[in-house]
Amino acid sequence: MIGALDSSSSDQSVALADPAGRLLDSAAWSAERGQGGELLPRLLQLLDAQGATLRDVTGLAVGIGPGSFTGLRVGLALAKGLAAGLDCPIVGIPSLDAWLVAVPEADAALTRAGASEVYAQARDQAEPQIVAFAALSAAARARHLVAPRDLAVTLGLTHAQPPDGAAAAVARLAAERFQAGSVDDLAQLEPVYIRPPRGLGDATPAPITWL
Amino acid sequence: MSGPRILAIETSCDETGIAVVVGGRRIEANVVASQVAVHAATGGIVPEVAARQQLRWIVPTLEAALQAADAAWADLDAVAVTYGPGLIGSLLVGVNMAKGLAASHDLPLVPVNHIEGHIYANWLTDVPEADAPEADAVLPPEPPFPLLCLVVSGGHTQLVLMADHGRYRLLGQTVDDAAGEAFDKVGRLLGLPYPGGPAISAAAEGAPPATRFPLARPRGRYDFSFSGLKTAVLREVE
Ligand SMILES: [Zn+2]
Repeated sequence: MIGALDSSSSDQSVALADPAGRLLDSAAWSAERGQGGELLPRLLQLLDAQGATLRDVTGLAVGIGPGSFTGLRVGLALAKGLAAGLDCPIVGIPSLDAWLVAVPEADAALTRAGASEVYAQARDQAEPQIVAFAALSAAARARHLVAPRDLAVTLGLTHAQPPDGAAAAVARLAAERFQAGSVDDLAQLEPVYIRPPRGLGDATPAPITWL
Repeated sequence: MSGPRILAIETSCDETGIAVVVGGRRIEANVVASQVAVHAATGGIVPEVAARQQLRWIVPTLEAALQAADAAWADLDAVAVTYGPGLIGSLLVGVNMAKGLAASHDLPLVPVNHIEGHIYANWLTDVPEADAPEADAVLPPEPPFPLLCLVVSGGHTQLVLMADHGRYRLLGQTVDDAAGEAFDKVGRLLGLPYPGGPAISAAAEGAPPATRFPLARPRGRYDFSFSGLKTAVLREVE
């Protein structure tokens, strides 16, 4: 069974899928300030409803953003802890790819990039790009979009759907990767940050020291 | 010695620390991935940088700790983790990692206050069991109560009176900077690299006694103050 989660925005979700990626169950909710305290309890609830436990999870799938740094940190740390504890493989799926799979009618996916910008990914684009709120035309805002509820309110998006099916889509996309044997390195898996940390500039962080 | 074998995770700031400790006293493994070189480049800790490094190094640190302790999951009785105070982004990595590990093995999860962690480091010993077959007899004796604990670190300066396990009275603390912060700030004033403490210590090595700086003692309590010291150094440098 695949356990999946996406906590890259304030609209978070968890899902369970069979090894072929067929959805067994999912849950979605809006979290305040991108926190992820509900991820584990909700995942355990889904397992419970299936009469299963974490031991039945044979693969972890996690949305890797871009999006809220805090939300991604929580989701990836939890997923890493589960994968390390269960000794199972892990796959990271770009969140906006999953959102566009979750809402097939949408032209583009939008998620917050700080206070006044969004990460935007049109269906025909492979990578998200950063766009200022002010640069989003009225026509762009009126298109069929996937966006978190709070962002849709902020930007006045008239045809936006929330990414409630994100984790289900993450599981579906991950199933293909598990079947192809193309899993991620548990230690090295990181979010798609896009932006370097404020204060670091373009510097590459020096290596860590083992004490 | 006996007692629970606990996997302990500490990610409150810029070090990823994972240990295996038995009975609250004997260290079986203690692995620390330090980001000191990372933050030397920016002259101090950038919280977002620290948090990203935590996420990057937590699994290698875990693997190294389990290997050093030669511990299998079945040998562990609980997972403990620092929940704060500290840098929120860094803390979240350790806490969520700990949740995942504890849940996947049905182990109790024990949240630990960061300052209590510093205090309880005084109970630890790394006498290996092999060298001490009757380990309880050879372990250094436990510190006797009541205890006066001085916690001095990059982020904290506190004087705590302990009547017994878990019974604390905060006698005093810094009213401005922590001791470690004072060293970092003074180091920066002197053009010395980060972290300030070791750099100042090295620079002072063999130097003739020069200027005596005042250390303020706020009245009435056992509080500390380091901002006056920093200002005095600034005036001297100018
Ligand atoms: Zn500390």
